[in-house]
Amino acid sequence: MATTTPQKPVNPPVPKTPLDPVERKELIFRRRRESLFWAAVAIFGSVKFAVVLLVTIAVVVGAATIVESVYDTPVALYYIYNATFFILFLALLCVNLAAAALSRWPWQRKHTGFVVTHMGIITLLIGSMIGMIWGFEGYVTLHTDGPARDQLFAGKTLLKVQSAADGGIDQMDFPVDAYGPTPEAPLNMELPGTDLQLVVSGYSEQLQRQPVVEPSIAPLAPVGLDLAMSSGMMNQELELPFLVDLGEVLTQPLFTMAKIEIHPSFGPEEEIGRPAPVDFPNLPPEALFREMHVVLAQHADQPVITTDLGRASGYRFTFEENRNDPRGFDLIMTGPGGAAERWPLSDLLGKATLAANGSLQVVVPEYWPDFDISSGRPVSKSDEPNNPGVRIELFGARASMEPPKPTLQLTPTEDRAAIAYRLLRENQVVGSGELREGETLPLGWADWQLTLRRLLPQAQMGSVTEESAGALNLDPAAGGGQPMMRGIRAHLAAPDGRATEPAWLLGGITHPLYLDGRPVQVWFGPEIIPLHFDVKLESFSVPRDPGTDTPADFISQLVFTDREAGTTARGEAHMNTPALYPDSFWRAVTGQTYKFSQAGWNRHDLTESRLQVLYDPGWLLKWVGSLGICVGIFMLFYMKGYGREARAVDREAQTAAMENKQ
Amino acid sequence: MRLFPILCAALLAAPALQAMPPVTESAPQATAPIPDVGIDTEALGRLAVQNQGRTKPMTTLTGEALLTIHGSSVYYPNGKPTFVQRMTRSVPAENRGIDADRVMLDVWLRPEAWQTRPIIYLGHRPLKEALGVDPDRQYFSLSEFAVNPALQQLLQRARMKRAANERAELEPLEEQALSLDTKRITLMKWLGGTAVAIVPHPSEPTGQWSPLAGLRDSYPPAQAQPVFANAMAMRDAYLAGDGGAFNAKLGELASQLRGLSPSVYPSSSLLAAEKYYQDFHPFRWAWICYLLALIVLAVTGRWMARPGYLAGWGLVLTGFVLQVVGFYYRILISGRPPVTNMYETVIWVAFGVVLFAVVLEAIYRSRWFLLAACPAAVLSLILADMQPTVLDPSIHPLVPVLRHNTWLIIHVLTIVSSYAAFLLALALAHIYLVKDGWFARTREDQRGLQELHTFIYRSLQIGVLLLAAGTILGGVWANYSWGRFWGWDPKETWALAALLCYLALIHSRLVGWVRGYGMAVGSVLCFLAILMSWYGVNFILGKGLHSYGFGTGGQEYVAGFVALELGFLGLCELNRRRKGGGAKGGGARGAKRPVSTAAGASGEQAEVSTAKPTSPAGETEKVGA
Repeated sequence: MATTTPQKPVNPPVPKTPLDPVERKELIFRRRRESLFWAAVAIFGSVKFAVVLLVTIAVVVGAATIVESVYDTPVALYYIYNATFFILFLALLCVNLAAAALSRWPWQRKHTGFVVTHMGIITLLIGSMIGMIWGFEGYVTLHTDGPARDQLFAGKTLLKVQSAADGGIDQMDFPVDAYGPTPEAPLNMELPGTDLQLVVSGYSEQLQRQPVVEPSIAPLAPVGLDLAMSSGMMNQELELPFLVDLGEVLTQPLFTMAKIEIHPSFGPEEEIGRPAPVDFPNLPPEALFREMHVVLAQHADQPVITTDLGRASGYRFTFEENRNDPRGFDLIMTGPGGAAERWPLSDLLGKATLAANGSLQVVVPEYWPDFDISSGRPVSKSDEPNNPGVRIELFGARASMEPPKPTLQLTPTEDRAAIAYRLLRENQVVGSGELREGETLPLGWADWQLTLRRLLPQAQMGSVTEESAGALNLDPAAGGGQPMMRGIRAHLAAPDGRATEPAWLLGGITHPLYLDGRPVQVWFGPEIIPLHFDVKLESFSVPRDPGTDTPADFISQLVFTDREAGTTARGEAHMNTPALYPDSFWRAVTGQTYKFSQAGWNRHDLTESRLQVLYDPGWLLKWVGSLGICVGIFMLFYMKGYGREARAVDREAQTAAMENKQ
Repeated sequence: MRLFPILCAALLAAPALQAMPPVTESAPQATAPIPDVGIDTEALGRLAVQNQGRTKPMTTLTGEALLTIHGSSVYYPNGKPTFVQRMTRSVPAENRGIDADRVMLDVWLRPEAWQTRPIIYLGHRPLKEALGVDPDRQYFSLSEFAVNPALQQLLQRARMKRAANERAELEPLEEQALSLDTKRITLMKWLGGTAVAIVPHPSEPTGQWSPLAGLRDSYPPAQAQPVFANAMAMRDAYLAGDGGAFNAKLGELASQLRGLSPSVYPSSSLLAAEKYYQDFHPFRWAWICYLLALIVLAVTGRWMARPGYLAGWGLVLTGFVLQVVGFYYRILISGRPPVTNMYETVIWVAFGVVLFAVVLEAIYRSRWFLLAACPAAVLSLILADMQPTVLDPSIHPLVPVLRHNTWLIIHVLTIVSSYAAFLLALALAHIYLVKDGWFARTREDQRGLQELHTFIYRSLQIGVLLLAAGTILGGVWANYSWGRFWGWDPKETWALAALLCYLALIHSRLVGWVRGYGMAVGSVLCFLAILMSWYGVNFILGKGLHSYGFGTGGQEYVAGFVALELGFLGLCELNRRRKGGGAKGGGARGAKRPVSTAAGASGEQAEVSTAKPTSPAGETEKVGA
C-alpha cells in the first residue's frame, strides 16, 4: 500500500484535471500518511467518529428532555443545552462534518449530494452561531393604552454591581431559574478593586412589600404602633402596623370573629355601642337594610314587621297624643338599647328623617286615621282618628345591625409612652388598662394575644420586602392579591467576617448596600436590549371561534417610529405571520430586520399583547443550510451520478484497484 | 317591593327542592326504558348544531357528547353483554346497546328521566374512594354527585391552582375531578338544552348560535313562532312515542332552521358529507381490506403465488383508496391536512406505510413490502378505531398557531410521513429477524435476506429524508410563528434525537459496523426514539411549546409495545448466539474488512449483488451456521 516515501512534499498539489478514481484514492491515502493535517482530517472526518458523536448527542438531548420534564425548562437549558460541554459537542460535530467533506477532496461529481448535505449542516450551524453572537431574542409586552417601548427584555437574568472602588459596573449572567441560590449554596461575586464579596443567598418570585412603621423626625408625625396578634392554636401570627389617625377611628377586623379599633382618644364609656352616623347618599343599595312596620295606635305592642334583615332590627314605635300636631299624635321610636326619640307624626309623613344619631332614616309613607281592611287592602273608614295606624319604613346600614363583635379598642396615652386599651363584649367594657412596649395582652378570643412590639411617638409608614408564605395567598388581610415580585436575598461580606444583614432586593431596582460606609450598588433583573426605534401597540384583537371563547387568532397592529429619522412604519403581527421592521425585501431575506411574532396575551386584559422579537443576521445562512440539507439528502439517495449508484460503481473499481495493488 | 322577588324565589324553590331525588347509596336503577321511536338519522343529520367552535350535524354531536359523558359511543343501560353472549349472538334484549342518537335525543327531549340514570363514566378508583361512592361501579348518575362536598373541594382546589397559573400541575385526583366535572357539565348542558345550539345566528357566519329557548331573542316573533311551535310538536310526538310524526317534524324543523338564516347555515352537501363520513367508517373498511390482503399474501407464498399476489395487490389498493376517501372527507369537513391530533397522525401513518410500500413494491415486485405494510397498517388502524377516548376521532378547530395549512403540510405532514417510512422499516425488520433467526437455511434464503436488507435501507432513506426535511422546516416555521429557529423544545429535540439515531445507523452501515441483522435491530431500536418523539413527548413528558398536542392515556399500550419489541430483539439475539453465527453481537460488529472497502457494504451493492448468483463475502458470514 505504501508506495511513497516521507521525503515527498507534504501537501500534494491539487490536480488540475479530474483524476480517475483510482489515482484519487491513492492520493487520499498518500496524503494521510505523509501529513499530520490530513491525518487529523481523516480521524476527525471518519465515519466512526461521526457515529460516536451522533449517538452521544442523541443520548444527551434525550436525557435533557427528561431533565426538563422532571425539573423545568430553564434547568435543562442551563445545565445541558447551553452548557459548555454541549456546545463543545456541537462544535465537534461541525469539525467532523467539515473534515469529512475535506477528506474526500478533490471532490467529484458523485460527491455532490454528500458535499451539499454536509456543507448544508455546517452552513446551518454557522448561521446559528452568527445568530447567537450577533443576533438576539427578546420579548416586549405592549398595551394599546400604554406608552411606546424602546427596549426589549431578553430571557436572560443579569446581576450588575457597581462598586465605589473604581466606579465600574460588573455584570454576570445570573440564571436564577436554573440555579436557585440558597443560604447553604450561595452565589458569590467578588467585587473588583475591593476585598468585598457580594453573597447572594436566595431567590424568590414571591416577594411582597409589607408595610411597617418606622421612626419619623417630623415633630407633628402621628404615633406609630407595631402590633402583633398571635394564636398558638391557629398557629398564626399577624403583623399589624398602624399610624394613629387623629381624625378618625381605624378598624382592623380579625377574620370574622372580632375587631381591633385604633382611636385618636377614648370617648366616655356610655357612647360605646352607639351606632355611628350613616352616609346615606353614598351607601350602595345592597348595603342598606329596609324594614317596614305597620303599627296601630291601639295595638302598638303587636306591630306587623317585615324586614330583609335576618331578624328584626329591634326598633319599636308607639303613639302618644300631641294636641299641637295637626294629626294629633307624636310617634315615639324606642331603640334596642332603650334610647327613645320622638317626632310629631306630621313631620314624618312622606319625609325621610334621620334618627338614632344619624344611623337610621325613618319615613311614614301612609297614615290611616280610621284603619280598616277592605277587600284585602288597608283603608281609612273615615278621617276621624278612631283607629289610627301608620306604615313606617326604616332604612339603615346592614353592618350596623349586626350583633356587636368582641372588640379591642386602643389609643395612645397623652404622653405617647404607652397605649390604653379597652376590651368590649356586647358593647360592655370587660377589661381595660395600659400596655407598654414589649408587653403582651391575652384577649380572651380563643387564645389570641396582642403584643405591642414597638411604640413610636413620631412615626411614618415604610415598607419592607418579604417573601410571601404561599403561592395561593388570596387573603387580602395577609397581603394576598397583591402582585408578587421577584428578587434576590443578598449581603456584602468582608474577609474579616464583617457582613451586612441579608436583605431581599427587588428585581429591576438599584439597591445601595453599605459596608464601612462604602456604597455598593446592586441591580438584578432581566437583560435589557435597547432598540433604535420605538414600537407602539395601536390595536390588539382576538377573533374567536364561532360561538366560543376560544381564540382563533391574535392580531397586533404595531407602529414603529425611527427616533433619529422620525419616520414611522406600520406592521401587523398575527399568528404565523410576524411583523417585520424594517421590512424591505432584502432585509427580510438576510435577516437584517426585527421580527415581531405574536407570543402571548392576557385573557383578563385585552389591551395587552406580548411579542417575541427576533433579530437574526444568521437567518439567510440557516435558510440556505436547511435547503442544502434537504436537497443534499435527496441527491444522495435518489439522484444517479450525484450520490447514488455512481458511488457503488466506482467503489467497485476502487476496490478492484486496491486489490490489484496489494 | 324588594322582598317580593325573594319570596317568589323561595316559593318556587321549595317544591323544586322536594322534587330533588334523594341521594342513594346503591346504584339507582334506570327509571324507564329508553323508547325507540325509530329516529330518522338522515333527518337528524340535516339538523346543524354549533358546538366547540364548529357547526356539525346533530348526529356528530350526539356521538361526541355520549363519548364524553359515557366514555363509549354506545350506552348499555343494563350492563354490557358478555363476550359469550355477543359471540353466540344471544344478547338479551335488555342488554343491547343503545346508540348515541337515541340516548342523547332522549336526554334532550326528556331530561327529567336522566337525573338518576347511571350514565356518567368514572373509572378512576382513587377518586371514587375519595368521593365516597361505590368504587366497584363504573357508571353514576348526575344526582349522585349533586351534593358531594369532597368533589366540590377537589374542584375548587384544582380551579384555584389553575386560576393562579393556567399550566399548573394538578394532582391526579384533581385532574380526574376536573374530567368528571366536564362530563357532569356536558350532561347538565344537554339536560338544560343549552348544549344543543341549533338556532343559527341571524347574520354573522361566525356568530354564536342559540338553543331553541333563544329562538325568540334572535328572530322576530313572526319568524320564530312557527319554528318554535314545530319544535314543541316534535317533542310532544317524541314523548308520545309517535315515530312517524316525530320524524316528519324533525325534518321540517331542519328546513325551518335553515330557512331562518340560509347564508349562515352550513350547506346541506357539507352536512351530508359529514354524516356520510360518520356512517361509512372508511378507515374501518380499510383495515379489513389490509387484513384480508395480509392473509391472502401470507398463505399464497408457495401455492398459487401469482393469483395470490395479484389478489393481495387488489386488496391493498382497495384499502388504500378507502383511506384516501376517508381523508378526502376529513379534509372536506375540517378544511385542513389530517395530521393535527394523535388520532389523525395514527391513521396517517397507516396511510403512509401503505403508500410507501405500494411505491416500493411497484419498483421491486418482491411481496415483502406489502406483507410488511399490511400488519403495520392494520394494527395502527385498529388502535385508532378501538380507543376513541385516547385517540379522539372528533374534529375540532385548531389552536391559532396551527392554522396555517402550508406549514402544516410542510412540517407536520412531512414528519408524520417519515414516521410511516420508519414504521415500514420496522415491519420489514421484523420479517428479516424472523427469517434470519428461524427460516434461513438455504442460499436462496440468504439471498432473500439481502433483499430484505436493501428494502429496510430503502425505507430508512425515505424516512431520513422526510424527517430531516420536516424537522428543519419545523425550525423555519418556528422562526415565523414563535420567533426563534430552534429552542430545544422537547418535540423538536426528540425529532432531532430520532434523526440522529437513524443517521448513526446509516453511517454505521457505511463503515460496515452493521449489516443486515444490525440494520434490522437498529430499525427496531431507532423506532423507539420515534415513538418517544411521536407519543412520549405529548403523553409522558408533557412539557414544551407543542402543548396543543398533549394528552393522557394509552401508556399501557405503548409500554406493552416497547416491552414486546425489546423482548423480541432479546429472543432474536439469544437464538443467534445459540446458533453461534453472530456470537460477536449479531454480525453487526462482525468481520473486519479492508478499510478501502469498508464504505462498500451499502444497499447499492446489495442491490447489485441480488442480480448476481453469488453474494459478496461480507454478507454471507452466517452461511453454514
